[in-house]
Amino acid sequence: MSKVFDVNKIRQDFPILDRTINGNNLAYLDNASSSQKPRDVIQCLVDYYENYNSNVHRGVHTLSMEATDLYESARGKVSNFLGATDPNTVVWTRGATEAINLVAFSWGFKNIGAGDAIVVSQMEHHSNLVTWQLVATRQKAELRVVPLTENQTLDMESLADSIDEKVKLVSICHASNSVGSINPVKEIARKAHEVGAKILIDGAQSVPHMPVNVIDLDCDFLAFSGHKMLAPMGIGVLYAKQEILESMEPFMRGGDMVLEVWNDKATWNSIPNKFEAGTPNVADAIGLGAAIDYLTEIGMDNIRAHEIELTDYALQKFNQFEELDVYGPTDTSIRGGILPFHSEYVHPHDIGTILDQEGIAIRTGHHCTMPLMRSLGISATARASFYIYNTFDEIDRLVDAIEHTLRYFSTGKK
Amino acid sequence: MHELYHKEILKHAKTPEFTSQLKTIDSSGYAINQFCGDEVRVNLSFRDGIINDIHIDSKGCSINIASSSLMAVEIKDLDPNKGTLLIDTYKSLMNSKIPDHQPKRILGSLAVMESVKEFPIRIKCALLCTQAFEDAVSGLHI
Ligand SMILES: Cc1ncc(COP(=O)(O)O)c(C=O)c1O
Repeated sequence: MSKVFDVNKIRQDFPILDRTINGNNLAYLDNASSSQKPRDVIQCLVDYYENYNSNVHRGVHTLSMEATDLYESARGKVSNFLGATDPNTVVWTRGATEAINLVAFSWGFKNIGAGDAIVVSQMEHHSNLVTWQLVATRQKAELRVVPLTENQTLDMESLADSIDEKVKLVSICHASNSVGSINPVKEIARKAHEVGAKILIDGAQSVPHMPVNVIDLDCDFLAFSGHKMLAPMGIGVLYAKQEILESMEPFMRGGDMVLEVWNDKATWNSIPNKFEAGTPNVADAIGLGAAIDYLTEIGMDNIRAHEIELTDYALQKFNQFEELDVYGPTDTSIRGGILPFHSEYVHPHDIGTILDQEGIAIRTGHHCTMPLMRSLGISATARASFYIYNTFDEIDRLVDAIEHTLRYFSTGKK
Repeated sequence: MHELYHKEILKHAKTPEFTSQLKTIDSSGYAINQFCGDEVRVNLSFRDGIINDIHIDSKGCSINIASSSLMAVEIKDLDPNKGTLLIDTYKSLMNSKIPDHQPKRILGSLAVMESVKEFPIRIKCALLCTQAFEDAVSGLHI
């Protein structure tokens, strides 16, 4: 039993956890890919479509005004959740990927030029690597990739060496989706600011799992996705400091982002609408607001404490598997609830298939971090990842299933 | 529980056949599954128009390794036309459309891969070797 909160009570809020998969209760351990949704969030979408649905910012009729209020109030919830001082610093996007691309196109192409440098790390998700490859190539800038230490934490000495006066942007994940390491982003932000660079924090794996305060971190940009934090798919956020947003060009052109339009020119709406061209994803933004209400009720500190308990327990249980390599730091104060493992005897896909037979959902593959896999000398891992509704019992099932799998592949006995 | 991992599949996954390098390679083919990184290389050597030796270099999951190995067992000593017919039949079997004029029995031991059909997501693992074979024979103008 968790010491932090009553997990069984929480589980009752998630209808999908009642499912059986191949005759077994579902153990959903693929939260780093996407989380499940509580009834509150699902109900909030139904409620929106049944009672408020209409376009926002566009009409004087009641429904449009109500929808706009709900939509803008969700923005306010995100802003409070992040500790931001102004809801207008919250830009809706489709997810972390779009948020990072928005920064690349609207800020990067204007502020990064020939001879400048961009710093990323070896543990970035493709979305925070490939995007900067584009900017670096087009602008003739240098892309510096900071290596990792032997337990897959960021090599802070190399990081310090790579941040010099040429650097215009440090773009780095707060927590790694692939090896779980949590990076000291506050310190990295300070280092970036010392040389006049900006910092983008990819919060896709931190915002859902721990308290994140943009003022405390002093980050210039923060990107994350709703679907990894109990909200619907298709909604995400870019937070940026107000003065930076003001200085940026629009990302896409269309309705809502303009102030005045002539045949040959247009002026831009104020932030954040300047970056939100076209009809937005109203329902899912409101759904993200509902997810934030749910998470706040439990408390982000409690969620982090619960995941530390689970991860400590799992790491200790995994010690019994000599034939498994487990990646990431063992110190859970610098590790998220992510457990990647690899065996030279059983391919991750085979592990994934057998675990699925037992109702256990994990992710296998490169986790959108191919360069990281290459640096580890492997092509794929199996990865279990935890969230608020996971239990010690599910970890026991995971461990038993892995034990069966390893035995089966080494002896052929079921 | 593990219907997917038929005894024969497990055996070929653990100790695949045709893993030795060839002295002369007459034709070579390659396939990679971009999604998961699994890959297969098929090297062929011919004598009197038949496949008289094969080297398989496969990396990845057990289904990929076992199917590549079983494929090699079955295409050895065939001419490329018959090999292609066998591969077409195997693909039809895995895609659940075996026409009457392609009797399943020509597949020999490769037919055990049929158990993979219960796991649709893994069928592509069992078919990667066929792409490598097709790549190897595509330049032969048969
Ligand atoms: C660290 C990290 N960054 C970025 C992303 C991209 O998120 P999305 O696909 O929701 O845009 C992910 C998702 O897996 C992630 O884990």
